[in-house]
Amino acid sequence: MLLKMIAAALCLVAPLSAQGAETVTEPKLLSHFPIGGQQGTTFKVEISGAALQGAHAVWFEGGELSASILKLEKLQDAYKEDEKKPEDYLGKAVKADHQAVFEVRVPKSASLGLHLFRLVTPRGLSNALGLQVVSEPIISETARPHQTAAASQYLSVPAVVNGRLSEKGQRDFYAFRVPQGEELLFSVRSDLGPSRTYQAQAGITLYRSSASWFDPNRVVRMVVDDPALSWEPFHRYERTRSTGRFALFRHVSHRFESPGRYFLSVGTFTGAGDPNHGYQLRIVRRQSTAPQPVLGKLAHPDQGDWLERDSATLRQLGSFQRPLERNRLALLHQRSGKAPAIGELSASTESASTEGSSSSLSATHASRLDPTSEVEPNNSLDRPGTVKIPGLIEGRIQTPGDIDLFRFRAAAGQKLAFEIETPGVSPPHFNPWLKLLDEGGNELVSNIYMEYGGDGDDVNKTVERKTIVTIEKAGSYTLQIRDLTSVQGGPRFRYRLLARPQVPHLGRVEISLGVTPSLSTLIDKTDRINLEAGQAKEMVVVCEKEEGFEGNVVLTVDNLPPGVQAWVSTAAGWTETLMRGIQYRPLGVEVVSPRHHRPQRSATTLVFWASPGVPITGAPRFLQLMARPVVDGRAGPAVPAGRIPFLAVGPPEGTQVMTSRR
Amino acid sequence: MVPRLPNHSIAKILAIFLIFLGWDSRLAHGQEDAVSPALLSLRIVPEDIHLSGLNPSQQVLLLGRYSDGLERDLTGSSLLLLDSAEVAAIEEKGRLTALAEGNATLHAQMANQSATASLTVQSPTAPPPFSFQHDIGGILTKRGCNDSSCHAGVKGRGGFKLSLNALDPREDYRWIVKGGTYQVMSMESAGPETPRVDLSQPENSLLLRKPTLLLPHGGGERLTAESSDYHTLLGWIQAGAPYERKEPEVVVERLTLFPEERVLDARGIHQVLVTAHLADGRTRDLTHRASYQSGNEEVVTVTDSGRVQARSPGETTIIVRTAGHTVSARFGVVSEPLQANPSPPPHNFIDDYVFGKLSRFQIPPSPLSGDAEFLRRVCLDLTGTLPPPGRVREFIASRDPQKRRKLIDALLDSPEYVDYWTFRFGQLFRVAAGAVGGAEHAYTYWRWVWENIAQNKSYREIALERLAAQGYGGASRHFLSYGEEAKAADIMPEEVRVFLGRRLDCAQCHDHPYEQWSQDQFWGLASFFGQISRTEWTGFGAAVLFDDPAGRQPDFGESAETVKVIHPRRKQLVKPAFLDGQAIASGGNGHPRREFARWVTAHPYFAETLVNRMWGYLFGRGLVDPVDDFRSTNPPTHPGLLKALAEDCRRHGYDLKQILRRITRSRTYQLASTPRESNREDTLNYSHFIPKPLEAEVLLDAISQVTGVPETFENGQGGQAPPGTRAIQLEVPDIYPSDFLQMYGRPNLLQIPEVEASPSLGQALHMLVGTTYTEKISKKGGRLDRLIQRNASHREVIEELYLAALSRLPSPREVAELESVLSTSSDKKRAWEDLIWSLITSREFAFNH
Repeated sequence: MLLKMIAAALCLVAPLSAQGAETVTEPKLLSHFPIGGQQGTTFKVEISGAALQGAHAVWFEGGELSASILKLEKLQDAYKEDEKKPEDYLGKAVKADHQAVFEVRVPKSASLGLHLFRLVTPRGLSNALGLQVVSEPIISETARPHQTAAASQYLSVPAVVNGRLSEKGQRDFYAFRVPQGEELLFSVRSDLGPSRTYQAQAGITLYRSSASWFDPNRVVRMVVDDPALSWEPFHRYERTRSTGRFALFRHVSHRFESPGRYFLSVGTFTGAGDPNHGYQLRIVRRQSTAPQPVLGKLAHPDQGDWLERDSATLRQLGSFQRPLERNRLALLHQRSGKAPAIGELSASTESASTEGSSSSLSATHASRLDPTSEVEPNNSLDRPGTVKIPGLIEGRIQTPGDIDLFRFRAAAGQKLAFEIETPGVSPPHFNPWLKLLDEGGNELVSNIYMEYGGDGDDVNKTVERKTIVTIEKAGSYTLQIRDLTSVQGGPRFRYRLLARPQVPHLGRVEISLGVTPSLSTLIDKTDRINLEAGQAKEMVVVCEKEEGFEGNVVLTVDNLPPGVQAWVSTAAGWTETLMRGIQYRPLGVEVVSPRHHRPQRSATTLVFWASPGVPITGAPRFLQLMARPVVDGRAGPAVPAGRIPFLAVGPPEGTQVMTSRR
Repeated sequence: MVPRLPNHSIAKILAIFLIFLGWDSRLAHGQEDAVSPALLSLRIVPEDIHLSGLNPSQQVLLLGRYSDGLERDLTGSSLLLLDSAEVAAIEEKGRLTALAEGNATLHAQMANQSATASLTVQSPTAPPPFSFQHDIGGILTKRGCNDSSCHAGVKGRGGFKLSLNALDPREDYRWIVKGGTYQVMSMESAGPETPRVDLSQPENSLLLRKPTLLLPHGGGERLTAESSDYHTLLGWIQAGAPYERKEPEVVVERLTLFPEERVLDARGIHQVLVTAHLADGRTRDLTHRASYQSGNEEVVTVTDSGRVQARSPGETTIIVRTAGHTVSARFGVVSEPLQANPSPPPHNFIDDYVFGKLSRFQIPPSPLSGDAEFLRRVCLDLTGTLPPPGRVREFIASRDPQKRRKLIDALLDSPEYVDYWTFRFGQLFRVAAGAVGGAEHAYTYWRWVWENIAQNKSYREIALERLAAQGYGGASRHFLSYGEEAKAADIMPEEVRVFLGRRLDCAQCHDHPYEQWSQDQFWGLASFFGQISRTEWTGFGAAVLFDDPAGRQPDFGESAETVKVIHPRRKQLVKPAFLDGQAIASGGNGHPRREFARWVTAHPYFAETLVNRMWGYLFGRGLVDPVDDFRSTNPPTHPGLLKALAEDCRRHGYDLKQILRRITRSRTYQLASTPRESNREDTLNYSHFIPKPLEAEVLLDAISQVTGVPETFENGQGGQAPPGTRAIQLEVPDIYPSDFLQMYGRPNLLQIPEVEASPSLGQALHMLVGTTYTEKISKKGGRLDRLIQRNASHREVIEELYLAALSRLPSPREVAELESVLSTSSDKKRAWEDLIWSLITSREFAFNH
């Protein structure tokens, strides 16, 4: 608590002070403009960055877009002495010393979404930035100042605008007209260069005219997007690959009850602005109630991402929106290291004859989990609904305070898992609170996880999407689900609840992400590998073992170029912290229940080594990390566990070869 | 730009000129003649007197109504006569004592006026029902033993603890009869328990020997062995020191005073009557058993027997304590009563109360304000914004008799109203990054306040939402303190202070030393907040607040008491309970804060606190002041008006705009700020509008408005507020440091703000050399620059600047003298800069009047 108070006080009185300029040893991209383009067009992109000398190519990770570098120049004096330098989120100043211009070609068939690109230089691959590809024509922000409603730039809906917040405090105003009853979806995405804090992401405010006794041109705000809660689920890219931060995808949906002229502004929560602060604004008509893509979704996501549940240290709201697929059990079995035994019986509650068995599912059954809908009333222990194991229930918290109950029978020793999806509204707006009750209605376990943080006196709680439990006594049990609060509910408060046997399996494979002495170092390190001849680099891989998985995990790296090898090494010391997953727990206190909510973790250090004679190809590639569970002496099928951009490079001029960067 | 000190002669001349010509010196002088008043009528109080064993004596008053409007206490004039000496006896000072059963009549006659009162005496020798609180506690109160400076202090005195004014008689009984040494944080005695009464040898009881100084006593002599109180205590101990006798204890439900309000002339003396109303419906005269205290002994003093003596003109309260109750009466002193004091025509019921009291207190109100004065005042009060020059001209020129009403409505419907009252309630609700633990939390919170004001949501709904808030919405951010759940013992007193206007903080550790709030009441209320818990998603402002029936898990060290609400003395889990001790069931799916919210918003204090707060915003002081410090020792100046406003507020659904509309339409609000000679000293009764300094944010905005140069608000994160953002529009104000705002009293909002309006040396220096004053004046694109660009004349500049800064046209004399001064300067621009500087540093500019 004390630490938080001090931290809060410091936040108020002082800017995030630079902790010294970072020594840039690898190329680093800081910003680009514009930050997107239309399918089937060619346009120029300006970028700024550090250590970009000799850049000779642009590499698009998805392979659909291509580009040619038109200009690369070294900046003489990037920042004046008294000018505040851009900082990364840990406070390290990163100075742009190069500027480049390249021409991008976007085929008509290019996928919509965010296309990651890197610059290829003699020092290696840069970090990635993203170019947003949209289908709509893009217009440019007007050159004249339009920082008041009266000076707005007029837009005809639908519209996509590439703009720039060039000055501190800048808000760009746009005007548009709507007919009565029109619902529009507004989204904006900022340049996500490493100099931006999440608070500096551009956001949207809607206004209407409201001539006042004082000011005939006055406008008043109607809607403001949420500066804290606009991130899109499942986009790990922004935090794991390039910037180490959560990405924010600010969007607002609004239905206009009155026709007429309205205004919107694009600005940042903190009033940040500089010449490199580009944004893309998109306004489209909302066609249905179904979720619509907003700016920022990756066009080519990494298939190796396996989002099992929340991590102890970097939690993801989006995990509640990950679909509970009908083949959920089959997917789990694929990562179990054991092929399901042919002919095994269904493990529904009534037939759960093998006490303690956790994987006795037929492949047939596992591949089909047909959801059943809740039937109200089911909010009292006298009249609960029922659920079979395995079973997928679809329900909703209809009104504030609504409680849904589902009863099932379980055998002693039975190991169960409960997973929740909230497809309509997700946390923090809808926070599903799951409890397992015994026959007497007593709570045995809930999906609230607690841990100690700060300096040890802070109790932090999270609502977990997965809870596992071992039934101690055969009998009748009840699952209770409600919203964490008693004030929220409605048609959008839908949930899907999967009750199933536990399936011991390989969970998420995480590459050097977690509590570390220097997160930025790790991010840089895991974002890509630039390997010089004769050089070795380490990478820590953490494997999560879910639901009692006790086997081994073999890590392999595919697509290594000739002359490059990957070896398994002993774990580095700091991984103990990483594996523990929490920062601090007072000695002698055992009040958290990790067995219900946290996987076992094991860390492995991979060493990549380039032989002295490795050919310098200059062509980047992805190294594919594969994880293969090994159980009972038998290796299961390998699963993708992440891809790592790689480039073999020559040593930088005038520098010594670094054999280890840790 | 280098700050420039405008120290040349023109600036000085202008400054002096403005002081002399300004509103400061525009005083109206009135003279009232003093004439000897004539007695118009007499009356005896009470008119119907009942004496019995319960009430063996009664203080009576003889009152005379005079032609000057005053009613004087004539009791000491030996004019009271009883027609039967067997039934009762009357002392010179008006105290009647029962002698035998029967009826009699009390007569008084003076200057051709007469009055009578009937007397009935029944069972005068029957023993009165015993009450420990009343009979023993009353003596302890009267003798000052259970005063907060003595044994009712936080830790008691000398190990002996009594509750304030016998508020907790059972506890008092324990410490007297069982004995022991009091500990603040424990129910246990710190040492051996030695009774303070000696049942075998009653005269040896500590309770008697200490106050009679037969044993050393730090509090000095409080009793003499001859006093009736000594014998009452002795008799009680001799009877075995019972808590109650056979009959159940008769509880004193309330006390009433006569008079509740009185005006004295410079030599006036008035006896106070104190009447206890018992639970069984009977009454008892406690005039001579009560403890009295003057709120201001320079105005009146009061004797131990309740005689109030005028000392000097003014107004104050007499606090009366006895039998676990505290009440007050209001006394005013006038130097010379007025012969004629006509009340102006009222605009609404507010004026009835205000002018009624002014009439009783012989204070003539000032005339109605002029249009310009009213326009500036109401614009600043309702919108925090100066009227634009064009609007000033328009309003002054309008002949519409309804123009003031129409203006009020237009202002209440303006977006500037939303800006300003979002700012004001943002301060009250402590919308600040530092308070809730992050700019995002604060912003979400701010947005909730803004939406409520923009929608003019019922204040009751606002309170319900805030008090019962759960989830992620803006109202719930209030329950975050530095990003964590606020502690029950911190948040409850804040809610009570904001919505019920009472300060309970002291009762957290001990019974309130000055008021009747007990530690049990404190923790009972705090317990409503004992289940607040939170989930934290990523730390990006996404904390979800909820009430966890399981309570928070144990944590360590400093915040251990927040786990569940544990009474610090009793060491027991405290169940949520309202002030009257009624507990509610908690746990399960219950939402105790919702119950609390319903109770708060249905409580009579709720509306009174709201209207008082709004009144305070508009007049610079509340009817109870400070506005959130209602207590028996701080009574309202206009109790009737407070109740009427509260009732009006309830009837209109706690509509904030309606409250503001009601007050600003009143004649009271629209009175001139210029005092008459005869109301100049009045600061409590609204005989004239008392100028109040502009809040720091409003002042800064006003300077920006007059100069035409918006302020730049840079934050500590490398950004700044959008250009043109006003200080009252800052959503998360504390992330925008500002020397000016700091200097002029911007609150930090880490606690409920109490604005410090005192001028400082820093302010004076800032006026001279501060960038806010100096740089804005001459900035390109500003008002002055535009005037220069259009080649305006001296007269045009003077008029425009007067209209912009002071919301009035300059008088012909001002124009003439200013033109004369300005024309002596060879540097026209510099001269105009000095004029604008002089205007925005003047008191007329910096105050709302």
